[in-house]
Amino acid sequence: MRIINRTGMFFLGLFFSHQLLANLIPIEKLFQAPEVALYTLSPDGQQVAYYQLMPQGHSELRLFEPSTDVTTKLLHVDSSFVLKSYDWIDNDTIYLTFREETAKRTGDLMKGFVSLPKQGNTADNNFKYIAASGLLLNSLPDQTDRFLFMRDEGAGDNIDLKIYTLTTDDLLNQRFAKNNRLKLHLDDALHYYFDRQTETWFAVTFSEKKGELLLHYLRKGTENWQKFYAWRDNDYRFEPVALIGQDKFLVLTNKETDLVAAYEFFPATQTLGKLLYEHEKYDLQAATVSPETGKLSSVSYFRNSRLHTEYFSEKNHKKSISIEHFDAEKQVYLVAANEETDRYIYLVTASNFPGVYYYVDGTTDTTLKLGSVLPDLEKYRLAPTETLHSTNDLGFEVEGLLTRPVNNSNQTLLVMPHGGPIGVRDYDHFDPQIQYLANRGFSILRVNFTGSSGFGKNFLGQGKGQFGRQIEKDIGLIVETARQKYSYQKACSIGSSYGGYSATMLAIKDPEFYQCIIAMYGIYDLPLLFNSSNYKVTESYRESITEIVGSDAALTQEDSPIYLVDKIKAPLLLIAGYADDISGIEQSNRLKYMLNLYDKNVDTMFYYGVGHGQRTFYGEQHQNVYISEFLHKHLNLSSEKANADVAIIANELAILGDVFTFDRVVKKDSVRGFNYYKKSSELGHPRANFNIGVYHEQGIHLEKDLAKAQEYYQIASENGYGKASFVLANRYKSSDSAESDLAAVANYMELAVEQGYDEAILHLAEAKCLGIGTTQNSQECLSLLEKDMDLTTRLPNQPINLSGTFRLKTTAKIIMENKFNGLAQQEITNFVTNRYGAIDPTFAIKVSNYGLYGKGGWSSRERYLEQTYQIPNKVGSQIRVSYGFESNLQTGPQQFWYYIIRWSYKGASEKDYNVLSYKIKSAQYHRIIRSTSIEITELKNEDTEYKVEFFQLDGTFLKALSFNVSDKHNP
Amino acid sequence: MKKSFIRTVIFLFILASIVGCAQTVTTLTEDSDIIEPAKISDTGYLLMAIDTSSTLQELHISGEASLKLTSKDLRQGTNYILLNVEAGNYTLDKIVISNFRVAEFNNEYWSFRIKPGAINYIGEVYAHNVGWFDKTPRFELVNNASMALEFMEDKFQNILQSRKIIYAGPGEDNFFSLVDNVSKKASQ
Repeated sequence: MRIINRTGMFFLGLFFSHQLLANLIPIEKLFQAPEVALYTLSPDGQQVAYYQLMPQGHSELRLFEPSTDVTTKLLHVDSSFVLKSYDWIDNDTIYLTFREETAKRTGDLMKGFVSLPKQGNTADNNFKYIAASGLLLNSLPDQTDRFLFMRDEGAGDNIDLKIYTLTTDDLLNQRFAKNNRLKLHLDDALHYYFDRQTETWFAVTFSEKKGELLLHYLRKGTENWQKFYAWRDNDYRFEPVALIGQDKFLVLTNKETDLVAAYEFFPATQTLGKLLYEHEKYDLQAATVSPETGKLSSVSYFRNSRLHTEYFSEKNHKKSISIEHFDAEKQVYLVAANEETDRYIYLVTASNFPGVYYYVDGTTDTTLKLGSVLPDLEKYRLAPTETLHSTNDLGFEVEGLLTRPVNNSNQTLLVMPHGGPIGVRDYDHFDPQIQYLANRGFSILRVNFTGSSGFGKNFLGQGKGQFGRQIEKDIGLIVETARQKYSYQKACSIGSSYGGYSATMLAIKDPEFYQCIIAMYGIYDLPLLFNSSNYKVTESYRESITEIVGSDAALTQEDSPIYLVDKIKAPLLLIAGYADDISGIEQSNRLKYMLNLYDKNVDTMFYYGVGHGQRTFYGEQHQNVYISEFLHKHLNLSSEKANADVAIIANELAILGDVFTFDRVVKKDSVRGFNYYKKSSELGHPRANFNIGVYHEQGIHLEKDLAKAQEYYQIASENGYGKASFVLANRYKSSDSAESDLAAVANYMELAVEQGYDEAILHLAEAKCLGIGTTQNSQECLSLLEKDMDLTTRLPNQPINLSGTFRLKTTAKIIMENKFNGLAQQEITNFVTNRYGAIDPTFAIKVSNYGLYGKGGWSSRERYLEQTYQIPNKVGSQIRVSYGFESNLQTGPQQFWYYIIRWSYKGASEKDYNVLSYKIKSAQYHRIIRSTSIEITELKNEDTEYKVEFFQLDGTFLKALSFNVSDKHNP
Repeated sequence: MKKSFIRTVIFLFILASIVGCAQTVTTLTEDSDIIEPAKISDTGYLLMAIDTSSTLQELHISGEASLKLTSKDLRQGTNYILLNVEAGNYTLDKIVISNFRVAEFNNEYWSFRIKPGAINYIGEVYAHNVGWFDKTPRFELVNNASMALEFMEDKFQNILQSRKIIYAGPGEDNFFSLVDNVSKKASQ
């Protein structure tokens, strides 16, 4: 991390905006998780904790010390866990909550403490799991090892919240002593909050009788809870900010004004006092109060859909300027603040700038860059957004957000209404979908139409019941504004949820302008909102829908796309999720049905397991690739790209191939999948080439042709696809093939490993350890074995995954057949014993039975037919040995020991020796009898010796039994 | 003998007799209209679907007749059920989830009316577990009329051609009429 002075930051901004950068952005780089997140400041402001996503897929909780520029790993978080939040208990301890990725959202969060490494100590083993139920209420970070913890001690369904002041040791040992319990009980409290600054307690209760949610407060030094405010279906906002005097609060409300403004509020009389701040156009989003003066310190609102903060305190204003100086278009979010030590963390972001976190030290007036949200995107030029305004026929100013491509514009406008539509809005934030479409040459126009939030109550109210009416008029108004400013040859509408409805209605109302429609997760039959299920016909539900849509009776057929299908002229892509419990799949299916009935051009992507929109980055990726494909196809847009971009296009086609072939995300369509792979393969995509090879090999969609399959595998391998190299290696390995070539096997396995194909590692280890097709090399042998072991280990100190026949067989073969001497041999033994466990020198095999095994006689069950070493030369004859274990060591029932079994046969000639199988087996002493067997699979021309041998893991011989297979033993 | 014991015995007896009266029915499999002309004013088709995250044991419907569907028609996934039943008012009473769990409804939200001579679509019983440890599914009767129509077109084209399909679930829905009107216009 680098310290940059203010001038440096300014020039850095200029440098980024004028670089000549790559053209197409790979979709994986846009739709991906932030690399850094959750920055917090320690109580003394000297340390920064944050969450870092690692390239290997796991995450780390890290500690950064600005004074030393040193970063320390605090905790390894496996990819199956999601870190939710954390708080500093004091300067040495962090409390964190996390959840297993697979757990349902309703599941309880897991909790723990992380201790910061003391000087000279490492950060290992510093995590302590908290088993007690409850949650951290306030970390009291200015008190060493003291915090407020809330838990429910009610019996059965009764809620009885108790608050304790605890130490970490108390919580870890579940010591909830009565003398640590606070005496601030309020009957029926559902939650408590504590404001550390004013030392005021807040509590929430719910009155079922009145349908009211009540907030109460308890000031420092008083004993009686006071009513703060009651909320009951309010059509205004009322939000407490801070205690600013004797029973006087600062609130944000639009109870008596159109816009949300900052007011004094007196709970005792339930009246608003002085208006402290009201913006002329926008609702306030947040406000802060100076802890020293109790006066309004700052207010924030969305101006031109960007967060803007006005400061009234000189000190904070100064900090703000130091950050905002970076670029006036960027938005600055205060992420963490420590007023006492004058240290802050800010996130600076913009629609074309995913964001960078900064540490500001007010004492030295320095700014330090902490981390970039999506560093992968720094080398690309992202599209900026401009704001458009126009006044509608009701006299309201409507705002539009137009994002235009940086280069390669295809002169196409995509009109994208937002969802909701009431109380929701669009922001000028970094949005991967907007950036993806802009990067592909489209201009995207979003509109904060009437009904959107942030512009006052009246503006919001004007959108109610205006589905397909005023809302779409407003959108049309801004579209005209954009068209007056820029010329567009083509246009499509695109939207999700209400936006899906709106996109369809826009094209119905202006079929000449819109040449295609992309409607996602939308509603298309408004009356169905009132009866989509038996619980949605209830009066209360109908009232809530009426509030937004207007009454059922007032709806006409002119409001619902399914009744207007004959007016749809443009091709329509309908995207929906079968698990959508907000719009419901039925809405989309109805529109699809009606479009088909009218023989309209409709394409559908109905996703399995997807709700009201994609929930994964991969889902977003393939959905947007398909949208781009649809747009290019129906608008006849050129797909010619510069060479550098061909690989990106090829990859997107391969993603579509996957969607229709493998992924089970939509109804499988193997022909479409094949066609996408074919196109992708023609553009040189390695994996698509491999898949075409497989189609040739299997004779699916293409003529069966092994030579062509080989050609495609070869191309894929040469272009870096590891699986292709692996398949080629196995083709050369095939012993019955005339082309068997062990050197080629080793070379291709080596290539596959280099190309990152993990399955090849053990195969290459076998070649290097045993000198098969390559020179035997003990160092490479060991390094590959260790690399393979890393694959089977989920986390450090977790049990090894022993599954995989091939792994066990190959490891046994390497142990038994390597010809290393001295140190190299010892290293192999050490590796194996490290992996499977120490060798027990007293371990012994005790044979209990042996001989011919199978069905026969009176029983239909398999059993020992005869205890003998003389086996008939007959296909199907089964030789079996049953055995137990002996050891002088005392071990528990969970103790496992490992040993090797080798079956082989030998004919009359010494050359006629073949190992039939190797196995590593585990022995558990308390399990007495195990058995091993082999079957005669072909007739022998001469007497043959079949032998089973048992060895320790270091190859030390334990036991052997030999069986003579001969015609003379035939019955 | 304690009164509570007697009450329990009587209750169990009544319960057993109610359950005992329910006629076990299975979905139609043949695509041929089985409503006899003589019974056209007495019987109609009941069309419903069950979308369940795990196989259910029984589904009980009471009313004009007492009907019981068994696990054969209530398998995990989406199952369509088409029955020929007596016309009249019905209520979806209860669903036996397992030997130890029964979900009882028997209220207005689960009532419907079967009109004679028509295919009466009542909705799709959605039965999915919400939470990880939640062993009792959330039940809802969802209106998926267009999907039901596609099912009929796919599997019971003859019955669909012979009988009008109508919405008989909670609330009102014009979708089938809309389709009917558009289809008629197209064929004119």
